[in-house]
Amino acid sequence: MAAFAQEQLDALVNGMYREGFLDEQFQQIRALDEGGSPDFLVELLGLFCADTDRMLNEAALLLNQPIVDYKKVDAYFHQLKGSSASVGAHSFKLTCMLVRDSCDKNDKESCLEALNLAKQRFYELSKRLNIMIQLEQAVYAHKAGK
Amino acid sequence: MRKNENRDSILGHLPAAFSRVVIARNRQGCIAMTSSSKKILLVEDMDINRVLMRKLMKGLDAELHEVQNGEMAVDYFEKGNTCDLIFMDKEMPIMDGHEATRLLRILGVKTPIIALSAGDLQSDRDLFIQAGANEYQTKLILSAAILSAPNGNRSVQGI
Repeated sequence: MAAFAQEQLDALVNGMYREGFLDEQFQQIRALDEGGSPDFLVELLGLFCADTDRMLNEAALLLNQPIVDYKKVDAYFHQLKGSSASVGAHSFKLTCMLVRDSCDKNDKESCLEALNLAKQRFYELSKRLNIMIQLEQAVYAHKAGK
Repeated sequence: MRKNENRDSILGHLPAAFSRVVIARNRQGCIAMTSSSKKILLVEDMDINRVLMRKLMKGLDAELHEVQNGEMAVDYFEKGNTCDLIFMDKEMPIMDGHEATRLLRILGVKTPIIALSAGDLQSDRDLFIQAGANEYQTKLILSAAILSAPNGNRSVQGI
């Protein structure tokens, strides 16, 4: 059972690197939990997902105003770019940069397009991260129970 | 600067001993990991990065204090606090890392400052060094350097 979960986890994580969802920074973060419980990974990814969800929603509200405050939108995506870089969320980080480029040009239409792309990318990422966390916990629970 | 040189340079600034630390809230309202001989000030606005740094610093003989922007870092020293090492983020609200570094040096703060950034632009490096930072590291290299140091040899005399 544990071996199966480990195989599933390895396949998932390798796939995420291959598809560009994750980069080297994520390897560094996983290394922090090597041999130990995945509590830190769960905490960090939980924080990342909750903050990202909140900021994407707030940015969407700002972009749907008749007069858009591009500085505020940019500030959210500066944070999101930073946090995604910190956890190794590579492709999501790239979409944040696209939004920031559009904010620089004060281009509402391209901002909205880039925001939708960012939301989509985040949705795909968070789905995979949730599965990863469950598999990490399953593997650890089995190892701890031995 | 190559990766091994980065590591030695970073580790040269890290505290000298190695033990478990506990998170506690100190009187100034900063979150501190107690209790030991060396103090590190982390100037970083993002929760995630603070969580990461706490994890990276765990197990070092260090007291980690955290503030959330450059202005709070300047206030920290103006109130008479001291520390052995500062990790300074680049982009922060209210006051960024360049400005905070510059003001700290004007105040006469001689504590080593390691500037941290997600990117690796030469222009950012130059600005930080001109402002008075001792080192400039990308966050990825910092975490890799700390992780790759062997246990018991994770620190080098330097401060």
